Order: sequence, then structure tokens, then C-alpha cells
Amino acid sequence: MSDSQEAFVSRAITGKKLLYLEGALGIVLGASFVIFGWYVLVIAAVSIALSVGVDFVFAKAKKQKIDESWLIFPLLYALMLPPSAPLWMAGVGVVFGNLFAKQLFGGYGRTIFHPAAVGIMFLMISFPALIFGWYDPEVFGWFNPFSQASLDALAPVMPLHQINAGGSSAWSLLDLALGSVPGNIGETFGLLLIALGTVLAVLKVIEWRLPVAIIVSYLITAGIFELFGATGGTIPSVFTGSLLFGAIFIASDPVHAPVNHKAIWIYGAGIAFITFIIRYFATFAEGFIFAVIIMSAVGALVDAWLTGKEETA
Amino acid sequence: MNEKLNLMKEFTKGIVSENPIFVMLLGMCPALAVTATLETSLGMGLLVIFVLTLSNVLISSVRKFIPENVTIPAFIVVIATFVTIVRMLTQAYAPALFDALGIYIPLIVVNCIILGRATAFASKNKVLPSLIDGLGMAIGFTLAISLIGILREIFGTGAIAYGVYLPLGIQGSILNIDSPLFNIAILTGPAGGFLILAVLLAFFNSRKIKKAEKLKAERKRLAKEKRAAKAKEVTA
Repeated sequence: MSDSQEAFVSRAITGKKLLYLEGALGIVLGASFVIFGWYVLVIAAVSIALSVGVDFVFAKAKKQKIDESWLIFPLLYALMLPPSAPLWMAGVGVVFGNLFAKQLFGGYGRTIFHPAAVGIMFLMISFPALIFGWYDPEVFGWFNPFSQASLDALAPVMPLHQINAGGSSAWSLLDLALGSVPGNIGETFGLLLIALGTVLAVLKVIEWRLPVAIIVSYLITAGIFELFGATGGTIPSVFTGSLLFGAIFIASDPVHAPVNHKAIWIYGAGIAFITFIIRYFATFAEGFIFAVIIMSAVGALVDAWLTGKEETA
Repeated sequence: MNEKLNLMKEFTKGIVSENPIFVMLLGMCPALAVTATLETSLGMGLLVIFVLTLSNVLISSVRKFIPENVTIPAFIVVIATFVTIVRMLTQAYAPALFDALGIYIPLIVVNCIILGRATAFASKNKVLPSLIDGLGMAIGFTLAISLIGILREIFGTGAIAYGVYLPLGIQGSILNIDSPLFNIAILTGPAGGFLILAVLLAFFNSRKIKKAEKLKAERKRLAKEKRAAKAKEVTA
């Protein structure tokens, strides 16, 4: 290893804080088990097993130990999948994300894009029907997610699609906050996410400005567009899609987010704006993942630009 | 006999040891842009074979008349002439391929493989070696982008279509795999070109490194044996 690599200081969450974060994600997974049934645990188990497999192969090749982020990344990834996701799809995404976004860049802490976000993005572009589709588990049952009938029945009827289409969702705001609505595994229970985010921010596991900046910016963006009649339901749309979950768990990752406080607001505003634009004007129903990846590329630059300016001023 | 061997070497180096795509990383623009299917890659490869071989021959035969100061403009004129011919022929006989390749046909003029071979080889060597060199390099390029095209088409669409872009007279597809794992839409998009190219480069580089290590170990062993034999002689 060269000196420059030794001198590299990772901003990754480690030690006790990582355990708190994993505990919070465990609670989210437990809640989604109650909402969606046992199949979500299978998805999580498959994701974790395959991801650890990739970690193991690379650790062996590099003659190092598996780093401590082995659990956090596949867990985050699994919570962003739809509960109807076929297992092969969960496997493809997690292997792609871990291999191309984490291991090839030298492990967690050195990544330039969040591995979980990259895995989900790969699936969003490759299999949009399966990622954004939803079928009624009460009709087809959770025990048969692979049958052709259930795959044919996939339809974009999540509250996200309904609000995107300009109407209001068929579910009330209370339903959206309590999570018993169609949506991705970890992303529906809005109130729990807010509570966990608050606890994590108080414990200083995550920087509170990051999720607040994103959500406030999103409210302002959506509010302005609502004034011009582009959309209905600014408040419910916060509780749909990946926005809450992603703002608290994905975008707040210190490895990819800026540090400077002004830069954090620019980062958050950028994510919120791109998310809104993709949700309402693009063919994809959810733009949060794309927004996070775009802003991760820009975030560090904004940081350097702002801190450089402050030093000279 | 020796000359024949040399020519053979000139031919194979373009395909294996100095492959323009996987070793020299030249001509990346068409390698990423037109390799979404096997047929477009193959079509591009055929055009490059034609242009590179003929431009190498022409440049090599007039290399003594071109003044030092205007070599590059002269090469560009020669290459552009052949590209214009190729473009018109494609438009006349393979209109589907012409539409699919679009801007990338005129861009063959600035393909760094062709200009590179002109400056590095054809302008310094006789006609026959230049012909062989151009042919080898172009075939290496064609094989490389066809490999990228095959992988992208199989994993992106689950089948290999034929007769769609090339005027073969028959149309159809082989290897129709009906599995969602062979329907990864991202691979037919622009990002897929980068992904497949990166994976293939990593594969070929790792093989190259392993080969070099093996050679090194072999040399070390031979040196050791020699030394041992010498020591034995001395003691005897």
C-alpha cells in the first residue's frame, strides 16, 4: 500500500454508531415483516447472504478481513426493494451494487456512490416493471411470488403513481404514515422512519441537517409547483416512494454527503429538486435514487468549492 | 521462411498481443457507441477492415512522396476518401446498417486506430507488411467489438438477431432465451457498453498479468537451475 492510501481517512460510520444504525434498520425490517409478511425476511436474507459472499471473495483475494459494513449495505438495499421482488432480481441487484460500487472502489468508506443506491438503480433501469409494479398479495398470496399470473398482474398502483398522476391517493394520510399501503419494503411506515431518524440524529449517528435539508427542500419545491397547479398533495407525496427512507438512511451517509453546512443545504436542495422533477415529469415513478447518485457526484465538489471560498474570504 | 514468419507475426499481433480495443484502448468511441447488437458491431468492423487495409496500402505506397510537414493532412485525405466510398456503398447496399450506424460512419475518419496505424506503421514500412498489419489490426478490432456486441445482445435481449441490419437475405434470431436474467435492459443502453467493456478489460488484463508472472517465475527457475548446474560442475 502506498503512503497516500494509508493517509486516507474514511468518513464511514463505524463502531457503536454503525450498530445503532443497524439496530434501527432491524426495527424497520421487523415492522415491514408485520405489514407485508414473511417474504420480506427471505428477500433480506438472500440479499445479505449474496452480498457477504461477494465481500468474502474480495476479502480473500485481497487477503484482508471482511470490513464491518457487510451487514448495513445489503440491509439498506433489501429495504428499498418492493415486497413482491423475485429473489433472482434481489440477488442480481445486490451483487451488482456490491461488486461495482463497493468492492471495485476499495470497500466501504472509499466509495463514490452509495452501493445500495447503485444496486437499486441498476434494477430500476433494467427491470422497471418489477421495481415499480405492485400486485395485490391478498389475491395472489405471498407464498407464490414467482408465478406468471402474479407477474402479469403487476400494475403501477402504488400511492406514488397516483399522486404523480396528479390525483390524490386512494389511501388517507394516516394510512400512508402508518405504512399499510403498497410500497417498498422499508419505505411505507413513515412515522416509524421519522421517529428512528430523530433518535439517530439525537445519538449523532447521522447529521440531522441532511434529511431535514432534503425534506424541507422537497416541501418547498413541491409547494411551489402545487401553487401553479402541477400537482396535488404535497404532504402525502413526502410519505410515498423512497423519499423519507432515503433521506434518513441513504442520503445521510457521510461518505457521500458534504460536510460544510451550506454545502449540505445545496446538496439537499439538489436531491429534492431532481427527485421532484423525475417523479412528475419523467417516465420513472421514483427519482430519489437517481437524485442521490447525481448529487453524490456533485456533493464533494460543492463542499470543496464552498470551503475553499470561505478560507480565502 | 523468416519473412513469412514475420508477416504472420504482423498479422496476429493486431488480434492478440496488440489488440486495438483490449490492449491499446484505441477506437473506444465506436466500441461503446455501436456495440448494442452483434450485427451493428460486425457491420462497423467490416467497414473498418475495408478502410484500414486500403488506407494502409495507399499510404505505404506513397510514403516517399509525402513531405514531412503535411503527413497528417495527407493521411486524413486518404482516409477520408475511403470513408466516403464506404459510406456511399453502405447507403446504397445496406441502408438499414447505414441508419443504425448513423454519424459513426463518417467518424471512422477520426478513428484513432486508422490514423495510428498510418503514422506508426504504414508510413515507415513496405506495402505488403502494411497490408498485413492493417488487416490484422482491423480484424482484431472487429473481433473485439463483436465480442462486446454478442455479450450486450445476449444479456440485454436474450437472443442474437441476424439479417436485421446486414443484408443477408434472411431474417431471424438464434438462442432465444426466455428468462428475465437475459433481459437486462441497462446493457442495451449506453451504460451497458461501459460495463461490458470494463468487465472484459479486467478479464484480459488479469490474464495478461498472470501470464507475465508465470513467465517471470519460469525465468527465475531456469536461472536457478543454471546456477545449480554450474555449482555442480565447479565441485566436480
